Parts: sequence; C-alpha cells; structure tokens
Amino acid sequence: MEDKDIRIPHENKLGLMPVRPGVFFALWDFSNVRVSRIREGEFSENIKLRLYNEKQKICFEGNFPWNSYGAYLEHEPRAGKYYAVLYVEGEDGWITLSESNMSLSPALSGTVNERSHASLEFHKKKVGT
Amino acid sequence: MNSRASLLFVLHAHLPFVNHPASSSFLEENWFFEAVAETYVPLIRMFERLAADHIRPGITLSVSPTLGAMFENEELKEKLFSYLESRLEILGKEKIRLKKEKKVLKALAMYERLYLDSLDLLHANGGSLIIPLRALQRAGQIEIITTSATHAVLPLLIRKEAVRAQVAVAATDYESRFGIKPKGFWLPECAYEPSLNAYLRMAGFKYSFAESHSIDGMSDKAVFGVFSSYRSPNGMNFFIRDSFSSAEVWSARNGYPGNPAYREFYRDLGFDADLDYIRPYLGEGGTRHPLGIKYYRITDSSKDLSGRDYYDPDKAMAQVEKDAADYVRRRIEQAAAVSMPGREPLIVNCYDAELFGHWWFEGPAFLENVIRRIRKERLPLRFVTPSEYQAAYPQPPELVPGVSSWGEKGYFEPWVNPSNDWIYRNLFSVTDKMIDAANFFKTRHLMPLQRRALNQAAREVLLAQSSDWAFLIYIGSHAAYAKRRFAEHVNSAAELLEKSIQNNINEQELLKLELKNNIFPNMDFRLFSSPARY
Repeated sequence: MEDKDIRIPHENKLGLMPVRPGVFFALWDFSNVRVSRIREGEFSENIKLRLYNEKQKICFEGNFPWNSYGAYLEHEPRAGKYYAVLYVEGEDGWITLSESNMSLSPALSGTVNERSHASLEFHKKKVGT
Repeated sequence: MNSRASLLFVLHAHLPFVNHPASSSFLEENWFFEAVAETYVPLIRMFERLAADHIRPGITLSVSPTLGAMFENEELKEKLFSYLESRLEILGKEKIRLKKEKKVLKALAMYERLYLDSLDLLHANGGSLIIPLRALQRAGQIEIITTSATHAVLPLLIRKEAVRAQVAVAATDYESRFGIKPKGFWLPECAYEPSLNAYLRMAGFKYSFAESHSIDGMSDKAVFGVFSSYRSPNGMNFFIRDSFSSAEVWSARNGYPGNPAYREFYRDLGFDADLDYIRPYLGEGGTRHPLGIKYYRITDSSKDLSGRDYYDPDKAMAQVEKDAADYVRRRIEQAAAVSMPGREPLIVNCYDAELFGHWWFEGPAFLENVIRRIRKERLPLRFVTPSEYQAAYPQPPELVPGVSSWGEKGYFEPWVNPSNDWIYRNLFSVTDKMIDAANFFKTRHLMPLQRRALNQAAREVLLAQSSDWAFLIYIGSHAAYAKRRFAEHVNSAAELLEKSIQNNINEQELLKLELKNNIFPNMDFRLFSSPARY
C-alpha cells in the first residue's frame, strides 16, 4: 500500500494532525498537473512547509522533498490552534500551493509516567513484547 | 472528608469488524470468538446473576458498532458455534490425555463450564448477545453506550465531514440495535479535542469521557479534580477518568492482574501441544496460534514462560477475594481524602472490556466480588451510571477538557508515528473523494445501483478509518493483516467512487463487497456531504 498510488487528486491538498505537544504531522498531495510540472523541472524538488499559530506567527519552517508526502513539524509545545501552508519554488520565487485544516495542539500536562498508564492497548504491548 | 462515594465503571467492548465469509476458518475471526467466550458471555452472566440476587450491577458498557454488527452477523454466529463446539471437543480429548495429571483437572472442568455456558446463552438467544444486553439495559441493570462507527480516532480525521459521519452513523446504529436513542459516547482511545463537542451534541449525545490529564492545569475550573463530571458550554457532559485507581486494575506489572496465582495468558495449548494433535483445531492456515486453553498460572513473571506452575482455579478465586477487598478499601480511603462538601466524590474507572476475562481471566469474578462485597458489607460506595449521576448532579461545573487520549504517552503517538503514518495520506485522499462524491451526488437523481455503490463506498471509507489498523501496524501484531485490510477498504472505496461517477458499476463485484462488509445496513452516503450542503 505504501508504494501504491490510489490517488488521483483534482487539487493540491495539505492536512495537519496533532501528534503530541509540540509536534504535528503534515501530509500533502498534488494534482496530476502539478506533479507533471514538478517532474518537468518547472518547480524545485523541495517544498516548503510553514506552521502558523492563530495569530499568524510562523512557528515552524522547513523544506522537504516534494514526494515525501508527509513530515513531522516540531514547534514550541504551546497549546492552541495551528495551520500549515505549503509552498513550491518556481522561477518567480515561492508560491503558495495549499493551506491545511486548523488543528489543535495539546497542552503538555503531567509527566510521561503519569500519562503512560492508560489503555489496555498499552497493556497489550508491554505484556506481549 | 466524605463518608460515601460513587463508582462509575465503564467497560469499553470493541473489536474491529472482521468477517471473512469465504473462509471456513479465518485466524483473525478468533479475536471475536475468544472475546465472546472469555469476556462478553462471562460479563453478561455476571450481570444476570447479580440481577437475580436483586443486586443491580450499575455498570456502563460501551459496545462499539463494529462489535454490535459482529454479534448479529449470521455467518459469524455459525462459526462461533463451531468454535465453541471445537473447544469442547479438544477438552474431551484433553481429559483422556491428562487423566493422570490431577493438577489440571480443575482447570479442564473450568474450561468446559466456560464454553458450555457460552453455548447455553447463545442457544437461548438465537446466537446473538445483543438480546440479553438489551434486556439488561431495559431492566435498568446496566447502561449501554456507543462509540464512533468504526472506532476512528476522531481528532485525527482532518475532515470534519468524516467526524460527523463517524458520530452520526454510530447514533443511528445504536438506535436500530438497542431500540432507544443513545445518551453516552465513548471516544475511541479516549481521544478528545474540543471541536468534537459540536458533533456529539448534534447527534444527540449527552455525555462522554476524557482522560485525567485532560484537565491538568485547569485547577480554577476543574474545582473537583477528577471526582466530578463537567459540562462544556454547549451542554456536553464529561466524566474524567481517574488514572490512579484505574492503574490498580489494568497494570500487568503492578496491578491485580499480575498476581502469581492468576492465569498466565501467554502459555497456551496452541503452542504447547504436539502440532499433529492440535492440527484439526488450527483452521485453514494450520499454523500455531492460541486455542484459549491455558493450564498455567503467572507464577513468576520475571522468569521464562516455561517456568510456570499449574493454574489452580480455587487459589485464583481466593486471590480474587483479597484483591476485591483491597480495591474497595482503597476506594473508601481515596474518597475519604477528598474534600467535596455537599457532594459525593465520583471515581471513574474505564477499561477495555476485553481486559476482563480475555486478558485477565479472573477479571469478571473480581468485578462481581467488588459489587457483591459493597452490598454485603454495606460499604459507603455505590455503583452509578452516568445518567444516574447526571440526574443527581444536573449542574456540573463548566469546563472544556484539553486535547488528550489514553494511549501511550497520553496523546496520539501510537496512531501517528513513522511505522504507520503512511496510511493517513491514503485515508485523507479517499475521505476527500468520498466527501466530493457525496456533495456532487447528494441532490442528483441516482440509479439504484449507483446509490448502492455510493453507500458501500461510505462503508469502506468508515472501515478504513478504524483506529485498529494503525495500532496493529505500530505494535507489530497482525500487522500484515492490518495493512491488507486498510488497503482493501481504501482501494474498494476509491474504485466504487470512480465507477459511480462513470456510472459503470459491476453489480457482481458490488454484491460481493456488500455481503462481506455488510455493516451499517441503513448507510446513507450523504452523511459525508459538507454541512452547508447537507
């Protein structure tokens, strides 16, 4: 499945998911047209991702290979709403391609020990391995 | 200082939807058969025994829609009977083989009773456990709640249309199964984020549950800590899990289930016996796997599995007595230390139901002992359901819990990490396609076949969103199966959507999928349309 391409997106897409305080996972996809244009060298092979908080302050910025399709974005672990923007670089500089959903970052609470006592899933993992 | 406390015990029963009608025996279907025999039937029997003795259990049971569908699936029912009968057949052989091993005879008799009990209950109810559960709820013995349609971790769905579909389908499914509107919603993996409140309320839910660390740092609002419910501004009530008391029960290392007298889960006849001897019970694959018959006790968990002594059910039950006494004593002490003038502290314990019986074999006996002990010794504790607690305290303090889950490290890492993050690009893509198709077709005239295809696509998308696939890949257990299932659902949905758009649907192929993934019979693909257009 990892390598299988089941997508025929009509537009460029960017999604943002919370992982833990200070870390989001961003995932993206391009339209077929965009992929062709990148492959033809019209745009650079790296994309730029920026993470913004709700005050439009940049909280993370990084470049990634366009075809990695996913990246972990680390930021100062502050609870609140965030969104990401994906840029590609063309002859005239960086252009905005897509904007993600708004996602909520958790607040850092307690210690790992205090939090890591929860589900049976964890129980299964610890006992079974 | 409080003289009395309420206990709210939630057992969350869930299994991913596993149905392989083309196979006479499919390894992963055993998850369901084992859980029925070891957890669901023992719990129902326990509730019935207590009710017969005029002791109301007052337990809250979450039954996931996927599990509910499996309870009522006719082919799985047939296979379940075969499974139980085959266990009794092995036990018959084992009685002959082990007739001189006096130390295992009690365990053999115990397993025989276990499987016979399941058969009796299932025969009495046409093979469905929904019937006794519904009766228990109607009699006010237990409260049954639901969870998202396929156990999707809702904060990870990205598209709000998908969240709404997961919640709305769960509400409809519950009503059709239990005959009343659901009140309570178990958030899969206790995974919460505040925007869920709107979708839960929209679907008619009144309460849910959140982790203890979801109220950390909110001491100004969380005035009663974890010992009270809270209400969001839109009227959604939240019960906060008490991690302190929960850990005493779940922890295999420090909790009750790890006691040396209790049954060892990992030492199983399926691995111990001669392969030729057990081959008839291993199914089509013929590979070794657990058969559910385990003769040993934990003994010393620091040592290798080979160094285990035989399990003695009587000694295990004696330990249950001690552990139940310890549990209630600790709860009384815990409540006494809480200062809540004019209110009874509420202690919320939430567990996966399968811990009780399947993983911790003595779990149902422990729970029954706790409930009976409270009544018999007139202890200052009482079991309450969420609805009862809400009726007693209708105006809880206002608070919105923070983003959290009950998974490892408290957030979302078990479901989003480098081992499994690749699934989300595919999931995001197919979910988007589903939403686009729902928006496009919502107001159009559809041929019946097109409607069926779109409804089946919606089922496939929901099944792809199940939290189980990412989790199994992460822990490396049945990972190949999880990857295959995920890929099948994503590919089936993508193909159905494409063919619906082209109006080029292969009815035979569609029918095959409808028969296999025959969940949510009233599915309406329009639930995936964007709110403004719905």
